[in-house]
Amino acid sequence: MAIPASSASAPTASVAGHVPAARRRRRLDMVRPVLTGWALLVAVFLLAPLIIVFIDSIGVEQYVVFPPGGWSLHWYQVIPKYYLDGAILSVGLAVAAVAAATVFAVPAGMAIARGSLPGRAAIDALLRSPVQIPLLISGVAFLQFYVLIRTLTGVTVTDSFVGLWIAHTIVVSPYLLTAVVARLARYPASLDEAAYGLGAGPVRTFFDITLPIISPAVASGLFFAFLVSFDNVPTTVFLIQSGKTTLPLAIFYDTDQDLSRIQYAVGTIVTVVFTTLILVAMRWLRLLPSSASARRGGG
Amino acid sequence: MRNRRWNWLVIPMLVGFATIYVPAIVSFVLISFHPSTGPGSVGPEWTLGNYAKVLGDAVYQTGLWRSVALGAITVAGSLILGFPLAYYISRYSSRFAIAVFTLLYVSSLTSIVIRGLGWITLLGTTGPINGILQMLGWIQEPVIFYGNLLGLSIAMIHYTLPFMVLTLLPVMHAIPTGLEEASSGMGAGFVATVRRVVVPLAMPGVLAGSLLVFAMTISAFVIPRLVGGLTLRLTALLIDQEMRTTYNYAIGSTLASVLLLLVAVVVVMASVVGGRSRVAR
Amino acid sequence: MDQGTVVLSLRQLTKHFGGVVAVDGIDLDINKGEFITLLGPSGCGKTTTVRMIGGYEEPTAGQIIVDGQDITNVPARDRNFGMVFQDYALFPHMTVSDNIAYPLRMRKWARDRVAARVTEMLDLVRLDGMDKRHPWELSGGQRQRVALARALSFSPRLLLMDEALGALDAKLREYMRVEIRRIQRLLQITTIHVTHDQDEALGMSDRVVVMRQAKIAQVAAPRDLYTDPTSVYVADFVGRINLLWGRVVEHAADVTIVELDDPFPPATATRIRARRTPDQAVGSRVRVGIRPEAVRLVEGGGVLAGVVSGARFGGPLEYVTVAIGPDRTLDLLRRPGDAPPQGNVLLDWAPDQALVLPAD
Repeated sequence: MAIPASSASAPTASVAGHVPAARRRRRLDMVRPVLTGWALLVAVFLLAPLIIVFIDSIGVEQYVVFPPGGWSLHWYQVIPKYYLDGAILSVGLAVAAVAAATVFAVPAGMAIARGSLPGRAAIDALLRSPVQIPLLISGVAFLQFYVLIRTLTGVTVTDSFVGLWIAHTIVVSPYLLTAVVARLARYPASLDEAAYGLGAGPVRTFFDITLPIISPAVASGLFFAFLVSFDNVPTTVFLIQSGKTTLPLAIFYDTDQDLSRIQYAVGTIVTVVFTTLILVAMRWLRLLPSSASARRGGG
Repeated sequence: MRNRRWNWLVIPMLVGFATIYVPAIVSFVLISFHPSTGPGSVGPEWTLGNYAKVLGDAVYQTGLWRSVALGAITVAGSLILGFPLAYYISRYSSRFAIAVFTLLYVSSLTSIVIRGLGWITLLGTTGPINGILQMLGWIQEPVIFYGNLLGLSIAMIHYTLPFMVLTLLPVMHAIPTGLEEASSGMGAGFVATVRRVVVPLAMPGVLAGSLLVFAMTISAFVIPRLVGGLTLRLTALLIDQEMRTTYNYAIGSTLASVLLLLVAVVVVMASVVGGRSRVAR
Repeated sequence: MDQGTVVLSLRQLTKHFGGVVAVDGIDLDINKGEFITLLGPSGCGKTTTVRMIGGYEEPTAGQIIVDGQDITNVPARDRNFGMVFQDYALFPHMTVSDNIAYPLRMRKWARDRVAARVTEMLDLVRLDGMDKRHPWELSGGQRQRVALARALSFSPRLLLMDEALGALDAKLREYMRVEIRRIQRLLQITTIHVTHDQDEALGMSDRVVVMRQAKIAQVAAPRDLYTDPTSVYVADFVGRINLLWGRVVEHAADVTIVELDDPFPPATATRIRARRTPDQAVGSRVRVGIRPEAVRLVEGGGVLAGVVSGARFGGPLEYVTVAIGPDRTLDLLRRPGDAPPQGNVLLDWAPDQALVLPAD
């Protein structure tokens, strides 16, 4: 950078403008590498536990020592059957909960977005509140409620699929509700009006126009709801006291008792499957990244 | 246009919530006002004794303070790591920035139990972190990470970081880069620009992210159980112990009510902050 | 076109939104094949009116009559009106041809008949070859044509357009005015168009309905609206006009004499001759309106004297501002190129060009 000859005639400009400008440029050039380095550090931090789970899953020793003395895929071959049962229960529960939540939350979202409900803000807050309440507290709440029901009516809901189903449905329903309400908020009313004017009835309009247009948002809500339900240990732990457990709960219990490489092998499989699903969803479902910020709860 | 004819569609969900969800929340809060009469049962009379015990007993007090301390440390940690990261992602659209964003996203959706498994090994006395520190000669004896707030807060920062960054990002994006250019054009260096322009304008996001992370941390269960261990006696772990080990439903419900109240206060604060930032924009 | 046959009648049509009166008892008859434009600023009730005609808004009171039939309570889908929305409301998940075919499928047309009509419509709006595209792959003007084709494909009784050109840039807007008018004449379809743009209203319509604060201010053909406005509001809305305050002194045989009450420099005539307007009683306060293009510069005589205070270049024509008193100016329109007027000037206009308008 050449110093303008005229700078002598404008001393204030030279002091306040020119010299710091040169220094500033050097500093600005440093900003990007420093920030990139910081991001790299954070990326390593984010990846570390996932990579370590994989490394731990291929060691030779039965008990986890680091670093492993040798490598083996043995632990993938001896995964006990109850992990598979757990996976089936987890998927079944998550699918059932998401399906039920869809049936209830999608229409409710339409009513909140388009209706003239008295006390709309309060209803909206109530129906969204399960995301705000820690999963652990939801577990306590459903446990106490089910115990109360057993005391009052003799009907046992604890330790049953139905009990889990109800709890999971309520816990994940806000994800669908939020997705539908947010999508409809930027859905032009004229689209539906155009359909009416062109000869379609309300039901026809919903299935021809509204649903196809909001379905990516609903799919993204479904996806979040599925992941939250699948991975929900804090609620489930209170509602299963004996018998079959979900997959994450099985890993959780076994880790508590004795830590073996089998859990790490299962963990690696689950991580690979889910990461693939998430990446596919981000890429092809064009799932909205910002909806992740709606995800809440205490793991 | 809002129309009455959509209203009825809310009925199924509302009825479901009114008959199951609301009674479930009410039931444990009610149980917290009854005395324990043995494992898994409470008496019919009303009492504030559970609250007196929970707020007076040293064990529960310690648990509550430790939970709050863990929350504060985690907020600070995720903010220190997350603020520059959010700034980086919002200002550079390089492949690497997008990759880090994707990684944050994937990380936030990875099974929490499995991440806990990873941290157990990472933080072990013979684990890689101690190994590297010893290799560098920074420590002689391995650092004990298990059963204390040090190891637990590292794992909690890992858990909460994506939520912090994803809350900060929209606020960062909303700050026009022109303001930073204007600031540097008026002679401010990068640090001064960040301190006087970016940080003040990002404050609503910082507050919202901090409150969110705090609420998540004080009520977290899986990571504290796997990485912290029972000896830490965090409120969340005490709730689990009372409900599933000693079956003291009265005390368990009381602890859960206290925790819920705390979380509710934080959530309400967060919504006030969120509302204010929208007005400012 | 069998002009004169009333196809649509609004009778005391009224709409309240909560406590706000959006449309206040308007009456209007629209003839078959006519292109009529509702013109007014935002919030004047023009969009609400067209939405009530389309069946998208329920009137609070009044009637909508089509071909002698009261359709006030008929739902939109049974009215058989085509509507072009401001944002076009094209279905984003459907192709151009699926969009155009949608109303035909709703009417259960046979497959080959649908295909034939879609081709015909694409041809009409000059979008051949675009049938497989999705709305996001089209330009604004093309989207506008698809919306028009979709609104016309089922041969509706009426075409409604709500600010349909508003989203286009100036040049395209001008082109589409001609294009829409061509199609409208070709199909001889009765059309109700809503706009806030007076050029658009005057340039496209057979008749213009100027609306003001939920009411109709004036209904007239574009030329009559410009030359014979009945109020200051209409005169000002449809084009630039100079307005002076005054009082009616006398109705002569062919002119009305008005005494201007602005303070003028001495030696200036303050009595001017204006168009004969006998319905403004002698002694009543009025506004005198003179369009800039009616004002001439003269060497001697003239109506008013003034000092040139500025000029604004505007392409083929130029506005010159003349100060005719303290805080009082008058604009006139002239060709640039001639030597620009300077200093003291004398202004003149034909008495018939000075409109005598109620003072409001």
